[in-house]
Amino acid sequence: MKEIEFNQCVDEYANSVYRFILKNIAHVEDAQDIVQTAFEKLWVNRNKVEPLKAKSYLFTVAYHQMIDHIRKEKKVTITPNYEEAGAKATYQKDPELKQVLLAAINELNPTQKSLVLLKDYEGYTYQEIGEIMNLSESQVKVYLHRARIFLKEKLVHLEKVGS
Amino acid sequence: MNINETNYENYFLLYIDKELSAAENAAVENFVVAYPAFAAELDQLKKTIQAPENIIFENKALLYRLPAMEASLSSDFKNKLYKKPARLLSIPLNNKTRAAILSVAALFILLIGYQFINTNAVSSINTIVSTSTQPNGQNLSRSKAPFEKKNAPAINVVTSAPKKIYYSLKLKENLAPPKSALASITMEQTSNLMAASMPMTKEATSIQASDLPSNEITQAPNEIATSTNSKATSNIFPTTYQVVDTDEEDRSIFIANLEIDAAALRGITRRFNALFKRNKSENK
Repeated sequence: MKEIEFNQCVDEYANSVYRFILKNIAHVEDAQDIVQTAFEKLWVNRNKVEPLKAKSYLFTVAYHQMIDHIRKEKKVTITPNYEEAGAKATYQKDPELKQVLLAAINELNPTQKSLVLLKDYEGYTYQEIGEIMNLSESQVKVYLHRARIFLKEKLVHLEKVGS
Repeated sequence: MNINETNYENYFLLYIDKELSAAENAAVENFVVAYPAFAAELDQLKKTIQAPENIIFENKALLYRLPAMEASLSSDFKNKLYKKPARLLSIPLNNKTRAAILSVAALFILLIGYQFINTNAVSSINTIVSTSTQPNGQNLSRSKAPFEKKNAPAINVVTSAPKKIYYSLKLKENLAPPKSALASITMEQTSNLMAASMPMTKEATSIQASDLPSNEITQAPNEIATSTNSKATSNIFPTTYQVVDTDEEDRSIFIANLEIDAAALRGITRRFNALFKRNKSENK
């Protein structure tokens, strides 16, 4: 990987990685630091990483950086302020649903949250998610399905309360 | 593939995760059409899908790897990205401090050289004086045990016990009064003793000396300060032997017209020398 390809990775993946991390830890500066570290590692290992695997590599490094960060911080404070900073739903038109879903996702543990985000935002397969998060495919499937059912129940509860 | 009331949820979840093949997707959609009661549940699961948000990483310039972009990064930030090496003690060297360090180093070298030359010079003087005053080769052996101080004009051995001592033998008239002698011995060496040109044992020397009327020689029985050569003769006048502690000498060092009192730096030079000696022994 040369400079040009690396800079293409920045163009294509920086936003995705940043979004993934920011959604998880909800802290702008820390998320930026993690993204920078991930790209720095990609640069250091640019000769070992195939360009096609660069995105997975970035997510893998960023995810583990984030886990380290969470362990270090021992607390994940949810500050939904970043929502106003440019976050924009594309097809969830219902603002109330969106808020509930957001709150429900923040109730998930970091692993489940990462699973949902990698699946929904990035469209990774179970196998790819397993490689990024160092889990088996069946673990990904089980954990993700549990998270989905949890989210669904939250939404169902909202609908019942609303109606 | 058979989707039924017991396994539909698993298929629904795989469906919304897009983990099913095209045929399986079609089967799920057909199942929902066939059993509308389950359609609501599929819809609810679909709602759990997170809508991708358009979040932008603002500072991509921090990530690009172009010479120009790299140059635009603050060095603080770049340093933060690297593992920090072990910190070395760094002394900011401007011309003044460098000159000061060099001059101190030069001073040390001069001190070492001075001491080396001085040592050689004193020992050579010692040899010359002893041969000139003691043509018969009478030797003065240094005794480590304490001696009682004698007043009679005689051999003066001025020692400064814990220190390194340089010996020099001088005639009495040239003798400078000893200043900080810790122990001294004087021994009158009379002409008849000198003239006793026969081999003398330690005991004999002691007896003869004690017989002298003006002499108060007390010698520890286990030690002898002097040993007379059998040919010690023809030296009629009293000869004085002095061991001079050269530490007492004027050890000023002259660098250009700058005078430095080397005595003040004695401790430093000793340590310095000791260091080299230790290194030598380690090398061995």
